[in-house]
Parts: sequence; structure tokens; C-alpha cells
Amino acid sequence: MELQDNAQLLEVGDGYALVRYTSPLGVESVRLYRYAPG
Amino acid sequence: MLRVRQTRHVRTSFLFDPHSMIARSRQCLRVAASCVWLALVSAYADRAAAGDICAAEAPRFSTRDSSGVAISVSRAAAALHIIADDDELWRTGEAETDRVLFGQVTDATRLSDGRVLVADGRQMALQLFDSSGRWVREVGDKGSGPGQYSRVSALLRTTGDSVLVYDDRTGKLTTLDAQLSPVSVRRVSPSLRRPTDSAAVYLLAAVSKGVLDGGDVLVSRLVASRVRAQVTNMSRDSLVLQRESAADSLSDSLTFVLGLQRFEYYANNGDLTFGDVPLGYVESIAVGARGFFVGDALTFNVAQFSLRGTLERFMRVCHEPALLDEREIDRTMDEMLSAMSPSSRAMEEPGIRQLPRARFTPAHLELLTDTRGQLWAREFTYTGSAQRWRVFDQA
Repeated sequence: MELQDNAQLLEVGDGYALVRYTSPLGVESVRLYRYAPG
Repeated sequence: MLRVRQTRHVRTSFLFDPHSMIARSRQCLRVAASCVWLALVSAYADRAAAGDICAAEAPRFSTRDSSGVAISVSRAAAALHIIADDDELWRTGEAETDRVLFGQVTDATRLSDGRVLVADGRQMALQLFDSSGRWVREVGDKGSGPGQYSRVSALLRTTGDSVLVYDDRTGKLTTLDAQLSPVSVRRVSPSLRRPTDSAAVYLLAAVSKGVLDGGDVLVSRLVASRVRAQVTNMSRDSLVLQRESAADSLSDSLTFVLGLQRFEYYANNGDLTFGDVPLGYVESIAVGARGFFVGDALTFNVAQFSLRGTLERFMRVCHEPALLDEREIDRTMDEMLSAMSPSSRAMEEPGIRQLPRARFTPAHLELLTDTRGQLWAREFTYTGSAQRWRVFDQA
């Protein structure tokens, strides 16, 4: 799975991405991803 | 006057013909023909130029125009990045056992020690999590004093782990120190020079946040808003970037006007100058460390400007527009309308349904910059598809 359309990149930094997610039922969550800059 | 309020997740800017949106501007109606003509000519002239330069063999190369501006051209679809679920480190706000259930997350920022601060538009306090995603404590509360908020819309980490907190209901910009205690509060308002107009058409993507080199200066969506600007005796929907210093010694602004290839620069001393945007259509803006990026979603051209509005680099991705799927337009429009209140929908749906539709897919959906100042451009995908981001290096 990859970031879907209901995700919003809030901040991308060195090695990480902060993402806001909204579920189909409207539940909001914050997720932290590891990101390796290319 | 048509009003379209866009939720942050429903991307609707691709739905409508941007040239028709220019003509929809109330004051522009009187000169609609010339407005549309101007936009069409510039867009197609740009595309023609892109076609020529994209005929080169090299997948990626740089050159300079006659005035010395660097032009970077990419023919390859490389540098696309996808963030996969496998890369997830933690999440919060979903499980019943989570300490905090969010109402409407407006922003988040990660501190240098890995802690994460989250702003929720329906809670007055900020929420602090440790580096493993465990809730630590609330920061601030409701009120009008220092460290008290009404609605926090944006967070920005600056040098030394200071955090800027913008309350868009009160216009207050609070600086928190590394311990997240308030050290200063000031009021900023992008409407000081311009009257705001709530009837503006809200179709542009939001401006991504960014801190400039120098630490005490920022230009960001914190204080960006769409207002009416008087340009060449016409009033248009526009986007203002306001730059402020923490020491209150600087306050200048750049105003981009929807559909025009020109911007205004108001210096701190009150001088007004104009600059040109070599794009067919100003659509999205992102702020980097040394300046800002202005994108044209029709052609995938991105212009990089210095803080004072000097064109420094021009990025062009060779892009072949594809025909938009009418069913996807219907689906996205239904989704947008369903998010409105019944009264708003009753008032606005007829006008929205009548807007001329875009025919081609845009080159990108939004721009943002990462904390290193690299530009990210989100590729166009239909609703429900995975996101793909093209990352530009500094070269």
C-alpha cells in the first residue's frame, strides 16, 4: 500500500514524513513515516 | 458571486477550465474576452516553447537564457517518490486506547529530538507526542493570553527548536522556545494592506509552509491568504505571501494574481514594484529556504524566485497532458458538494455545475518543500489512487 488520496503530507524532513489521514468515516490520525531521500 | 470552499483533502482545482475561472471574476467579466485571450495565448505559447526544448535527446539538462536565468529541463519521469505503508513508524488518533482523538488536524511538526507537536483546529491546546508516538502532554490552552489559542492553523519549527504557532482566528503568531513555553506573541495580518474578500473563489492549492534561511524570517502559508488585489485597475483573486521577521524589523509582501503573469512586491519602506512570472497560469506556490516556487499546473513549469522576486531558476518537466475522464470529474464534484452544508450546496451547486470543465489533466496537483528546501511536486492522480511525488534536487 502507498499513500492514498485521503492522506495529506504535513511535513517532510530529513528521513521522515508527517502525514495526516482521514478515514472514510472521518476519523483523523497522524502518522510518521520513514523516508529515505533519493 | 460563486464561492467554492475547498476542503484540504478534496483536490478540485483540476475540475474546471482555469481560463473560465479567470473570466468568472466579477470585475473581469467586463473584459472577459481579453482575459481569456491573454491566458490562452500565454499558455499555448509556453507549451510550444516546452515542446521545442523537450525535443532534446538528453533526459535532463540545464541551460541559461539570454538574461542568465538557469533553465532546468527534465524529460524523464524519474525522481518519482512513493511513501509506502511499510515505512510507517507509528500512528496516533485511531485506536480507542489512544489518549488523543483528533477533531481536525491542521498541522504537525517534528522537533529535533523526535517529538511531534500536533495542532487540531477543534482543540485549543496543542498535543505533544514522544518519538515513539506516545502522548506526552498538552501545550497551551484556550484563551487570549500568551500560550493560549483560539484555532491553530499552522506550526513551523525554526532554528534551535523554536516553534512558531499561528492562530488564524486571532491572527496571533506565537513563538515557543525549545521547552515549548511562549516567549513572544505578535499579531500579523495579511489584510493590513489589502481588504479581504470572502467571496473569492477558493480553488488554488494551499501554500506549503517553509522557513527561510536566517531563522528569524518566514514566508509561509501562516500568513498567506487570498484577497482581492487592485492590479492594473482590475480586481482579481490573488494570493499574498507576507514576510515577517521575529524582530518586527521587516514586513514586505508579494502578491500573485490568479491568471496574471505578474506579481507585486511591496517593500518594507512602502515602495511598490512589479515582476513578471514566465508562466501561463499561476496555480501553486511553495516556500523554500532561499526563496519560493511558483508553479503552472497546465504545463509543469516551475519558476524559482528570490525573496525580492528575482527569477533565479526555471524548471520545466516535459509533460504530455492527457484527456480528463468525465466520470472522475463527476465523482470528485459530487464529493466536493457532499461536504457542503445543505444551505451552501443549494446556493452554490447550480453555479458549480455550469462551470466549463477542464479537458486535460494538470501537470501537478500541489507543490511543497521539505525541510531541506527541496521542491516536491505531487503528480496528478485520480481520487483513490496512490500519491506520487516528484522531488527536485537543488541542482
